[in-house]
This record gives sequence, structure tokens and C-alpha cells, in this order.
Amino acid sequence: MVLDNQVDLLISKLKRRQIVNSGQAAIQTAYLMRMVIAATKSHQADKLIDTVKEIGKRLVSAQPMELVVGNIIRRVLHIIREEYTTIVRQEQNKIPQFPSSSSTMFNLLETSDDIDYSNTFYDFKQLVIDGIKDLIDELETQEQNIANQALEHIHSNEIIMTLNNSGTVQAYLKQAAKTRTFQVIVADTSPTHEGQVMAKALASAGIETTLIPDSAIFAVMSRVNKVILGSHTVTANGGLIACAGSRTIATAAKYHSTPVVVCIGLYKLSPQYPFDIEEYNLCVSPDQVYTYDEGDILEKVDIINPYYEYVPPELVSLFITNVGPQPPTYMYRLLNEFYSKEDFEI
Amino acid sequence: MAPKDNNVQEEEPLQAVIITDSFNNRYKPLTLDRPRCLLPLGNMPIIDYTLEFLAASQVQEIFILSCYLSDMVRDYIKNSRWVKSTLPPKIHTIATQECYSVGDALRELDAKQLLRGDFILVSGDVISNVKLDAILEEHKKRRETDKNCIMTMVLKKASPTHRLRAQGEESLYILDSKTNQCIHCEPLELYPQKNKFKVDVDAFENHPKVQIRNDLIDCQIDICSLEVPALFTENFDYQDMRKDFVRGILQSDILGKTIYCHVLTDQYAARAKSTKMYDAISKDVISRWTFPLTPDSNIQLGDNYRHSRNQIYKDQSVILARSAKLVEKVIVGANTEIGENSRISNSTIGHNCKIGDNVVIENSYIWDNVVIESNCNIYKSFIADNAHIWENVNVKKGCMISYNVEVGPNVDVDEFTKLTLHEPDNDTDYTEISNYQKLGEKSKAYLWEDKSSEDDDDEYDKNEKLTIAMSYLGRENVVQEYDDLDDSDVSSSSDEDELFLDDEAIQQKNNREIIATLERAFAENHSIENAALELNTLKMACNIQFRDLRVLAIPAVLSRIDADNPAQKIIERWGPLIAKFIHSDEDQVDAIYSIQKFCAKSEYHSKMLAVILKIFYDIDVLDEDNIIQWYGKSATEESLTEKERAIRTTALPLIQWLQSAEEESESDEDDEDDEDEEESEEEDDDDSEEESEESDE
Repeated sequence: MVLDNQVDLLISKLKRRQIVNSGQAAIQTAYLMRMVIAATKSHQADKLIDTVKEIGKRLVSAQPMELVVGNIIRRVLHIIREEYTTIVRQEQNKIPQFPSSSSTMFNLLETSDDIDYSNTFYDFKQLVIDGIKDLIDELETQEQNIANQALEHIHSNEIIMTLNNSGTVQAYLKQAAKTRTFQVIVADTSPTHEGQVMAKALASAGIETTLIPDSAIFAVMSRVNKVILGSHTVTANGGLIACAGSRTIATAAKYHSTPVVVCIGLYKLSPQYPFDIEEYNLCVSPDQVYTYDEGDILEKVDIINPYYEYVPPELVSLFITNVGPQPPTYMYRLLNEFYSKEDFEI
Repeated sequence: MAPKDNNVQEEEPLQAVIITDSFNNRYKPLTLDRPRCLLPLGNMPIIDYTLEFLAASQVQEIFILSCYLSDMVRDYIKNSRWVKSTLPPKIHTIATQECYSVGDALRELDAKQLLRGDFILVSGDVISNVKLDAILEEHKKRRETDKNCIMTMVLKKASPTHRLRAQGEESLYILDSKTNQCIHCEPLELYPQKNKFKVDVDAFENHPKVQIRNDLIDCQIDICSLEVPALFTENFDYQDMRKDFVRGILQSDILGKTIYCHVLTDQYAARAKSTKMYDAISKDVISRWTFPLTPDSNIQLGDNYRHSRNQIYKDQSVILARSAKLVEKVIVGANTEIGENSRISNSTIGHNCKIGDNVVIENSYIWDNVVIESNCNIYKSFIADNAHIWENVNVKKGCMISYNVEVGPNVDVDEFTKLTLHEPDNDTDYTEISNYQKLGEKSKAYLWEDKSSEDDDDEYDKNEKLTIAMSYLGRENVVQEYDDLDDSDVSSSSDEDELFLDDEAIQQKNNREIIATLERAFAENHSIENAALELNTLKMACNIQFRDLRVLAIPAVLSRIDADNPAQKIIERWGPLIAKFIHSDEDQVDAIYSIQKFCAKSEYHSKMLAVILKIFYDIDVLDEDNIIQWYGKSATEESLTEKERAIRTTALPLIQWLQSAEEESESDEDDEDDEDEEESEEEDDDDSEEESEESDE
């Protein structure tokens, strides 16, 4: 009952958009999954997989735009499969084998034989729970991990441009500011004006900060050394689903050959491929763009206020992840490291 | 764990009350089979929007009060995800019998004692994405400083001509600029159109800075304290929340309660009050003003909508023919099939519908399981569940095709036609279409006409008629479309631009209303006090004189005299009513002229002038002096007709008798035993006698 309640609670929060931050969504999903595993009576791996998948489906359909929820579910499924195969191998051979993780290329052409997940092993569940605990730790420390790499990418007296108020980017810049002096230009990010919040936070951390309107992005870009962005999710091809305005800034950077660096935790990497890029432009209430008071105009004008937009991988120079910097072309390889192929479709 | 009292009080669960009844007939015939709150809007029942809005605002407990078709509401809630969910809010449905207004509902609620603290009161047709937390906080703070603050009304800012403003139902508000206290609330009725209203001067003394605002939509979301239902119980004549309660509270100095407003500028809130509003709100839902309450949030279980360019919401299970085109602003529900070359724009199509080839649907609302065969055109109409439209049907604007109705093939359905399967009953509410040819060979339908509303006793005045007429989907604007309002909706007057009436016409209107009020008083046997009060109110409203009332009331009363109802009975019963409109000697004389005029008109009454005057004299409405004065005067009055002159003479015996009686009474003033004297007078005299005796002692 308690579990059902928790599942319903997370679903309703996702639906009502009471959780918008992808980091929050990820951590809450992970905690929920730990509860799910702990509450499942069976020790059989296939039962666990079924339970996680079933709840996962409900969570994903609650807010299909929030791809990180699906990612965490896949991560959990991957943990279950990994732990299981490790135990099975140990039981069968008692010989430490070369780890046949899918992250290597040695087994690229191997046909993966169907593993029978129905055996029961003592302590198996505990191992899975430990695995999820590690995942939660990863989620909680990833921001710091990314920030720790700041000095490698930000140099003294550089001018850096950013937009929106991404927690990861903020931590990253603040970390760099501890040892280096540099300038940050923040675009306003209308209509949410989150850029203002970011500018204020950076300025109070002692960084020389300039706030510019979105219209000035292109004009200022020629002076900028580096663009640092956050992203809501990263798709399988290395494209971004980031706050509206990101594509403008990335395109301007491309024109001026300014590198675009994206700071993301790897939990944001989704195996989904953006076939229909408009699908991800979640449109919110046009309220922020135009007031509802003037009735006559509403009849004649469509007002569209997208919250996210898709940025193609060509416009991104580098991802800084919690496991180190990665080029966009390499993102699809990372997928195999974190997820099992059979779970790409939940 | 020992409960700590302080904590318990602080964590009182937030409660909300939904009143699902609208107490009007705006959606008929669609609401004959289903209460308004269960009608789908954007393919989701309206009440789900209301519940979702409250749930998102962290409401813990919701009471749904319903009267009309309360079983359906109860069953719906019982099987809904709300009850199955383990999360708050907890929902209770309460069926109220004999509930005719918001006032009744709140009195019932007060009697049940279910509420524990400040609560949110909404109607069952509210669609909103407002976060109430801030407003509640504001209300609580206000309560700390101003104990008399009993209510906060949530109002939405919108230009006076906004499509969400229901013409004739909105109000003008006077607010204190600083505190947003509501000082005055003046309903803006379509008829009679007012150019001025009165506000107490004190209001301006107490509030140095006020705003007079005509740009606010009443969303009917109220944050009420417990005193509100209690006040309704105390004042059992309060019916409407706004017209009676708010005005009553604001005008009452004794209660000293205050009402505040919260003006929304950036969030959405509206009520689907009428079909026209339903249309406006549907468009807002599609344009995402209500975000996150949009179809692609898939709030209902089983829905799987995706939003794509041009505001098209398509369920994943929709089967769309290759050449079919969803132009813009369309919602298409699950398992619906759309045929070749069909074009759909600005419309909502429900679940499991089948739409044939070459169908054009514009600006329409098609609910679940509807079948529309090929080559149909549907424009600005409602088509309810399970309806079947056969081939080549042309549905023109403003139609409402109710549940299970079949129409066609090969017909045109006229504008504003309302079809239902309800058998016509003897009340002639419905007109059977004897001519089945008119709706096609395969049709199954009865024409429904909005006559029931005319049976309404009170309030069904001109304003109501106009408001209703304006509230139908397809009505564009008061002025432009006025001439195509059908007769049943407006009035028998053939005046084309009635909204700009000249004085004479206004007078005619007023007269009609007064006569209607009188008729009602006669028919329902109102007491004199009540009838007089009602007429006095009308007098104020129509801005007329007592003379006008008299001129109308006298013939109305006298015309009731016939063989079965002798003059004596009628005048003794209703004479006092006329007396209420007579205040001086001149009035009396004038009244006699009116009587004379009336009697002259009919053969039957012409002989009765003297009798009538005598009775009026007996019940002390007319004095002998004035009757005599009239007799003398009317002899020389030139404006009188022949007939009137003729019947004047029939009163001669009375005059003679009166004169003699006067002389008599003059001759012996002390004689109190005059048989003709009225009883009350006798009593008065007796009293005075007694008094004098006492003083003598």
C-alpha cells in the first residue's frame, strides 16, 4: 500500500509538473525503485525485472517528455541484469572470466544468448539494492564531479556565455571561479527570465557577470571564448533537448566557431532517438509571452511558447560528463555501458 | 503519541466544496441525460478539470454537492481514478434533494457540519490552473489582521469584450486599490441597460483610493471562512452567491463583514457557464492556456495524446486516412477513424468515433462514439455521444444533436436546431417532428424547444432571456446577430434592434413586466405585502412613477371581476394593493379616472362603476371628498370619451348618498356607530376613546 502510494505520488507530481528539474526527477525515481525492489517478495531476477518494467511503464507514460525517468528505470534494469549474470557466471565456472560487459567491442558480433533469469540466488536482491544505492550516490555527486573538471576547460580571462539557470553549469562556473578569474555573459532566456536568476547567483559568487537580452546573443558572440550550456536530456545521437533558446546560442556559436561545451550528468543520456524533433518542444502556457487579457487578439493569433527545443549534435563540441569529457559522436557508445539493449524499449 | 493541540490545529486539512449544479438550463438538451459537470471538454469530463485543479493546489478533502442527476455524479466519482488512487484528495459525494440554488446547497452543508476551517468553494464547471497556495496564504494573513474578512473572491483580468466574459452575467467591481477589498459589486445586465448606479458615500470616505473595474471575470473560485455557510443559514432568502450573498454582505452595515478580491493576471481560470463559454474554453485548452491541463498531459487513464504542430492533439490509436487533413486546433480521441479527404479544424472529436470520407468539420464538438457518414458538413455544433449522422447531412451553426439521435440522410439541419431522443410530453416542451422527411428517412429525433425556462417563476426576465440567447455557441455578438435570434429565445416583440430601445418601447417593456408580476401575484395568491414589495422593486428597476403602477394595476385588478368572482371579493382582496400606490388626494382622484377609463372599455364593467367606487370607499382606499371632487371635475374634463362621460352619470346615486352621508356625519360627529365605517377605523376610534378616557382619569 505504501509503495502504491509512493508510485501514485511520483506519477501525479510528474503529471502536474511539480517536478520539472531532471535531477530531482532522477533521484526521486531512483529512490522509488529502491523501494520497489525492497518491497518485492520474490528473489527471482525475472520477477524483479517485470515489476520494475511495469512500474517503469506507468512512470514513463505519466510524463513522456521527462526522459530521465525512463533512463533511471533502464539503469535499474541494467543493474539487475548485470548482477544476475555475474552471479550466474560465478556459479557456473567458479573461474573469473573476462568480463563480457557490453561496453567492450570484443563481443560486438556475438549473438547474445537468452539468459534464463528465473533462478533464485541468496543475497541477489541485496546486491541489486546496493547497486541502486551506488546509482543514487552517483546522482547525488555528479554535479560535484562535473564541477571538479572545471579548471581543465576554463582558463583565466576567458569570456564565457551561458543561458538559463542550470544547477550543473552554475556549480561548474563557481568551482572554476575559486581559482581563476573570468567573465560570464548570461542571456536573459525570455520568457522564463531564468538567466536573471543565474546572473544574480554568479555575481554573488564574485564572478564578473553581464546580463544580456536574448536578441544580443549573436552580436556578443564574437567576443566569447566558450559557450557553456546545461541540458534537460541528451538523445542517443548526442543531440540536446535543452531549454528554448539553446539552439539560438549554439547556432550563433557555430557561426563564430566558438566551442559549445555542455555539462551533463550521464543519467540524462537517453537511448531514444529524436525522429520527430518537434515532439520534444514541450509547449507550455502562452501566458508568459502574451497576456490573456486582450480577448480579441487571441481569436486571430496563435501564441506558442515552447519550453524545450532540440539542438542537433553538430552544434555541440564537447560534453563534460561525470565520467569525464566525451565528444558527441561517442555518446551512442556510452549507451551500451549504462543500459542493456533489451531495455531500450520499456 | 500524545497529540499536541497546537499542531493539530495548524495541520488542518484543506477542504474544498464543489457545487455541481448550475441552476440554469444553458446546456439543454445536452444536460437532459447527463449533468453539466460530466460533459466532456477536450475529451475529459469538466469535473476532472475542477478536481485536478484542486488536487494540484494540495486540497486534502473535497465535498461534491449535487442535486440534479446526482446518481450519475456519484457513480462517476465512485469509478474514477480519484477514488482508486491512494493519494489525497479524499472525495465525498453528497446528494442534496430539494436544492434550487447555491444558497440551498450551502445551507445543507452548514447543517451537515462537515467543514472545519477555511475552505475553497467552486462550482463544478471551473477550469483553472491557478495555484491556490499563494491566495490561501494571503487570505489567512488577512484573516489575522481583519477578523471580519469572510471571503476572498478570485477574479481574472480580461478586457470587457473578452470571449470568456459571459455577456449579461458579469459584474462591475469597485475595489480598494491598496487592499483589494471589494466595496461594491454591480451586476451588468443586458437588460435593462443601466447608465448609472448608486454607491454609498461612506465607501469613498473609508477608502481613499478605489478602482472601478469592468475588466474582471468572475471565476467563481471563492475562499470562504466557516461564517459563509452560517450566514447563508441565517439569511435563508440568499440564493445566488453573487447577486444575493455578496451584495447583501457588502450593503449590510450591521454585519460588518468584508470581502476581498484576488485579481489573477497570469494564470488561467474560467467557468464553462454556457455553450459559448464551453467553446471559448475548449479553444483555450487547445491553445494551452490551461497548461498543464492540456490533452497531451494525458490526465485520464488510457489516454495517449501527442501534441504536434498547429495545436493538433492526436491519440496514438487514431486511424487517419492518408488524405484526411487535420488543419489546426484539433483534438482527436482514442480509436477514432477518419476517412479520406475529410477536413477537420478547430474541433474536438471524442473517443471511438467513425468519420467517413469527404466530411468537413469546423468549430464543432463531437463527443464519444459518434458516427458521421460520408459527405457531411458540420459547422459550429455539438454532437453528443452515440449520435449517428447519415450521408450528405449539412449541420448548420448552433445545432445541438443530443445522445443517440440519428439524422439524415440527405438533409440540411437548420441553424440552432436542438434534437433529442426524449419523447415529447404533454407540457409541449417538445415538438414532435411529424414530418420525418425534414430530418431524413433514417432519422430518430424529436425537436426540443426551450420552453421550460418560461415556467420559471422569478428571475426569468428579459435579461435572463437575452443572456441565454447570447450564451449559445454560434452567437457572435449582441448587436450583429441580434436579428437572427429565434423568437422563442427573445420575446414576442418584433423590434429588430431591441437593445437600443426608444423610450416608448422601454415603457412597453416595463408595462409587460409589471403586468406579468401582477398576474403571478393573482395566480399564486401572494400576500399584499409581497406583491407590493415586488412591484415597488420593479418600479425602482424600471425607473417609473407610482402613477404608472397604478394605471397598470387598476385595470389588472378590475379585469378579474366576472360572474364567478364578484366585485366585492376581488376588490376586498386586491384593493389594498392599489392603496399602496396611492399617497395623496390627487392620487385618489387620478385613480378614479383610471377606474372610470377601465369601466368604459368593457360592456360588463361599465355598469359597475358606482359599485366599484363604493367598495373602494368601504375599504378605505378612496375618500368621499375625493370621489365627490372627481365627479365634479370630470363633468368638465375634455379628454374623456363619450362612453366615459356616459358611465360617469351612473355614479350619481353614489355621489348623492356620499353627500348625504357626509352631511349626516357632520351633523352628529359624536355618533360612532356608522355602519359603513370600516372596522379598523372603528378600532382606531375606540382606541382614541380609551386613551382619552385614560387621560381623563
